[in-house]
Amino acid sequence: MRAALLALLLARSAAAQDFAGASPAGSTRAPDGLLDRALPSASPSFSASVSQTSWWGLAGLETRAAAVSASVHTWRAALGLSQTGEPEIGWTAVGIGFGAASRNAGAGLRACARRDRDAPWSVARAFGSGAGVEAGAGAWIVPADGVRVWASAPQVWTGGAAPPLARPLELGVRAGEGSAAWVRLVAPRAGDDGERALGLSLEVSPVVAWAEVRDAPLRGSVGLTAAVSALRVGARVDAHPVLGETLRLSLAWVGEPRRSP
Amino acid sequence: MGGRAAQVAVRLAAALLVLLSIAAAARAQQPEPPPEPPPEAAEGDYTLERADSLDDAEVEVAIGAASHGGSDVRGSQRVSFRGGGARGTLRDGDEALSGGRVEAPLAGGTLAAGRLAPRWGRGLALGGAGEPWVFSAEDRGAGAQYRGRSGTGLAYEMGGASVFGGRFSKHGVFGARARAGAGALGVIAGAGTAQASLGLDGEQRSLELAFDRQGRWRSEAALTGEVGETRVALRVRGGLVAFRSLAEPARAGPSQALAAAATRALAFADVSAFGALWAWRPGQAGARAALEVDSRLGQHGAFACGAEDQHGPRREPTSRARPTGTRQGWWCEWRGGSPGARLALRHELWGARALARDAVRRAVVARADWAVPFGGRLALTHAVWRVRSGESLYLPEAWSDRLVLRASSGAGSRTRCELRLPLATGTIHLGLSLATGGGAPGAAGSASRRPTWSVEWSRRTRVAAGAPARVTRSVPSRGSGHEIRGTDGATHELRVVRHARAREGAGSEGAEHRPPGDR
Repeated sequence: MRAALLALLLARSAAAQDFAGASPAGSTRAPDGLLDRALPSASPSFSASVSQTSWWGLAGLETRAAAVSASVHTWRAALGLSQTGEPEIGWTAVGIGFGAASRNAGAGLRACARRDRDAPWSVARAFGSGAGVEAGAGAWIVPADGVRVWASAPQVWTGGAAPPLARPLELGVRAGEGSAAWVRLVAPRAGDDGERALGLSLEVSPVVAWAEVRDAPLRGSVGLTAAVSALRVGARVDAHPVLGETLRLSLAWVGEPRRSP
Repeated sequence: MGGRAAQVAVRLAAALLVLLSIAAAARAQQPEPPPEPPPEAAEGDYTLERADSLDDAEVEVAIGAASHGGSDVRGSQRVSFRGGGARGTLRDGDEALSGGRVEAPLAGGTLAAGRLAPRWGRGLALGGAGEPWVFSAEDRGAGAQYRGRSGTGLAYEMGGASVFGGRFSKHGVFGARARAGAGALGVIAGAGTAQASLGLDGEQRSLELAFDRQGRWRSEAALTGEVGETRVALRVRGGLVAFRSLAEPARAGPSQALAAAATRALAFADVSAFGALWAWRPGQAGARAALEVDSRLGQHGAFACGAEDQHGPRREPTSRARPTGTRQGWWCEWRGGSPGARLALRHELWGARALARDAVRRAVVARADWAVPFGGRLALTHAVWRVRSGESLYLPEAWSDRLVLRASSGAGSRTRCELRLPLATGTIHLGLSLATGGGAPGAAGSASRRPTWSVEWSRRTRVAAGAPARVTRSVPSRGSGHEIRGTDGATHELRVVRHARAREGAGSEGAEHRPPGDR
């Protein structure tokens, strides 16, 4: 019952899931882009990141994730492990992503397997019967300087146990790098009419502050990221009129030639 | 028309005049709505066969196989040829497009056998469009974008005279037509009755009067021209409700209709306006108006958007049909990228109230495609929709030789991955489709459906007289690598097709439709 309630809550109001960090939407160098949205980073890099999400302040409902990503020329790959909730109601997720990207375009594939935490975790069990598996794809291009357009379908295919969050196709356009504005459109799911979001970010080096407002129901998110050398710290708060606030914290080490927002 | 319908008609007529005045200076063609399943099509997916693109002295051979979910795999073969005045396409094993058509010169004329889709004049007696707002059917007559199949039989044409005989709408029909200058006279007989058609066909104006032995008649006139820099088209139809084409009764269309379209190229975009009023019978009227803006963004990008308003039944309603309310919608589409990597996005929303409120249909489509090694192309299309109960939606799926309109209902998603690669002096096309949620209207449940796949290898060969045959690469249906608009088929092929579900009058001979659930 608790698991069903949790799934319902997540499906209705969460913006992302197991591997989402605190980066704003549409960032070209978000370390979680490939794992979470199948959107590879524009620049080659090696990164290691951890994040923690506290869903609506509910005790015992937290997501902890760790991920690494690497690049070889234009190829990108990422691997992540995530755990959500207490053993009785929670799950463990393993994610993997592959993609290719240049400065002007990128495309990726992602896959994720989930397993309830009601038994000790193992790799064999993660992909055995009873697990939930999902696979998706995403692509982005830069049609003009400073403008990025993306399409992300994280759950093109699902198998086994249903994922706790239905994530349909998302389209977005973002203008700017550090200081930027973006618009997102999330396709409808069974039972809702999709979602539309508008966001703004402002960069005052080395800090980027951002905010996003979404409809259905009207709610918003604010976030702050800071980069010091190769270290990035991020925090994000999602406010929901009924469920309360969700807090995400992320810490990443990113080895790349340029500093990212 | 009833009082309310008359009010709607007056308002729509006023809106039409405004739209026409806005667009009062046009170039280019009239707005091109996406093709819809014709009135005679049954529920379920519908397949439109593209007209072949062979040059003279070319032959194309294709073999393929496709799964329809699970272990149901079917093979198919296709041969197309053109040369020496002969041309034709023969298919086998293809459930949606089986059969074929062959044309060959004979005694100074041209003999055609197999699938026939003739059109006379405005299409009142033969080859009508069915939809009230369509000026000419896209799958009827010579030069049509799609190869229709209103019947099967033989046809012979020589000079200005033509005759045909075959099976149309489940009974034998014979016809003869003679043309002299712009005038034409035709007679159709079958099923114990006869119809006649008198027509005048000019470059910019055409007129047809069709009538039968009982005195039932319809008449239609169409004009095209330019007002300043604006290209305009006008169509007017009148007649009796009871008149039905003998060969294609399902495509009779409304008994009264008025439609107009205007297009003008402005500095920032091409602007098109369209409006139509029609009446199926007294008290059952409809109207439609649309405005569309199409703008190029740089060398490869484009942005298009439009708004549309509809009232009344789009298809001929039965006496039991529920009244069709207002539908107002808007859509936008963006395409961009370079020849190496392209992205196209589309969003479409329809509502039962003004400004598309009270949504009844919403669809989001993304398509990405990339150049891959060895001259190949990889494309991924993902569509998500949500349709209110009682509404219907078709998602177009462009193949190399056809356009498949996938019937969709409820809430769901569809993903198609296509890979095209040169292989063994030909081209191989691989396709994989995944669908979840709502399928064909009437299909049970909304559970996930099994993936389907298709594979086709085709080879196009040019046979030059007196020289060894040389192989030409199969003409890709998606144009050259430097195109964006047009490279994904016609611009409308990313569009969502929507229409009222009622399909009264189905029954003409058309094997194009596929039964519900047959994927």
